[in-house]
Amino acid sequence: MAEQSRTLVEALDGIRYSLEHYVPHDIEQPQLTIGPVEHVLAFKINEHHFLKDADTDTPHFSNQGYFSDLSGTVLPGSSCRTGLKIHISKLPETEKWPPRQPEPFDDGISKPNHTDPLGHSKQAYFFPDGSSLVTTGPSVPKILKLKGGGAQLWVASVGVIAQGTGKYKDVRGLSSYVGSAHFPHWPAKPPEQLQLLAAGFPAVIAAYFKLVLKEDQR
Amino acid sequence: MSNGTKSESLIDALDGVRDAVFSIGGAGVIEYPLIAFPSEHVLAFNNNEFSHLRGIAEGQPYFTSDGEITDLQHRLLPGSKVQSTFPVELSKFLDVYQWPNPQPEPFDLPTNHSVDTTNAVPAASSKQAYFFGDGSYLVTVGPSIPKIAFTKDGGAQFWVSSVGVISQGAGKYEGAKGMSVYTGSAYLKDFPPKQDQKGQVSYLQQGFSILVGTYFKLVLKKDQP
Repeated sequence: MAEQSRTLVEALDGIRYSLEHYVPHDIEQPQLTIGPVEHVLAFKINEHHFLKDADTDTPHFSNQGYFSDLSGTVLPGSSCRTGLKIHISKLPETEKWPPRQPEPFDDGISKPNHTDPLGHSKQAYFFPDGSSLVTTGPSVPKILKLKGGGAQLWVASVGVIAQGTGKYKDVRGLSSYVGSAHFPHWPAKPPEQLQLLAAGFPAVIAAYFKLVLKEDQR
Repeated sequence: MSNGTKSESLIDALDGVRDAVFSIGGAGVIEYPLIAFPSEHVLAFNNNEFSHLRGIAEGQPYFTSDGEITDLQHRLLPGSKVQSTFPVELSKFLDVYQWPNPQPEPFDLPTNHSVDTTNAVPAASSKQAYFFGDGSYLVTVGPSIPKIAFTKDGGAQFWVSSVGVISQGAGKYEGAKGMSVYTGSAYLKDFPPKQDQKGQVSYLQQGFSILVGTYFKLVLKKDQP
């Protein structure tokens, strides 16, 4: 039996600790698989992003971080490396939004204006057991100015698995992720905006994988 | 107990317990505030959908899907509904079996100022509408990539991943701006072989179940200038 708490605050802190550490936290989501051999992963990534070559026409985001489950419990030993290249001429598109979509919503017809990918990214995810997954695919970034002078940056991507190691060697499957960053003060002009991005900023990414292991493929 | 956080006050301690309970997730919870920035809302959920391939006779084939929303524990959100669509080009259908080249290191930098996009480009633009139990809804549109891998038991796993940009919303999401992504999958038992496109089309026209993992990150209208 655990040590008796001396105060009410200590007892509550103990409950909190137990909830955070003894309730299972996992990134595998077996309840969301379909078919006998699929694996589903859902997790959050904390990254630090830098816009490199910000003084050129083709800057790129260079990002490094680690991941946790969706409640924020860190997976010790995890890490990730991601990169996204964009052309400076496409930046104005990041502030444009698609038109209202016509009903019905299941009829095969869409109006995809302002949803074109503005770059292509690659992502490498390294898991605590030494396994890794690498994906590549199109990315759509958007920026929204906020009340109070700040801004929210989002990048949403589709990732096709290109390679893997360890338990993920030769797997097939897809991923998707949406990342975001918050800037309390967003400069009005592009040169200052690029400077701010080049200085580096934290980002939080939600990632989803669906895959089939090599042993289950034919 | 001496492990973990030491709260400064009873209120701090109670808030800590509340946050810890919240992080576990309750039935029907799809909002994840602990991984959101200020002003941002993060939603994570699953869709149970049934999909058909339609429009073959008209020469404009598309997948049409309808279903409902669940939380990530696969518990149904009462009163929810999903409708989505994804056009396909049958002439490019064999691309679903092609996979990208191995990507070179370093992974956080483009190689030779570019990224190898082989077999990882969008096939079409899909649209999705998510209706929540309180009458609110979100509609998104954006590029999608489908892929299929054959499984050892004679079946196939069919995936579609998509980026969605919010085009409209209603209720609490009226005027919301933000983005979504989804990865959907179906298990196609006894799916015809790669060369039998006629058989595959016929199979997909019959309809099949899909599960779709979806994330949203958005800012409500009240937090926009």
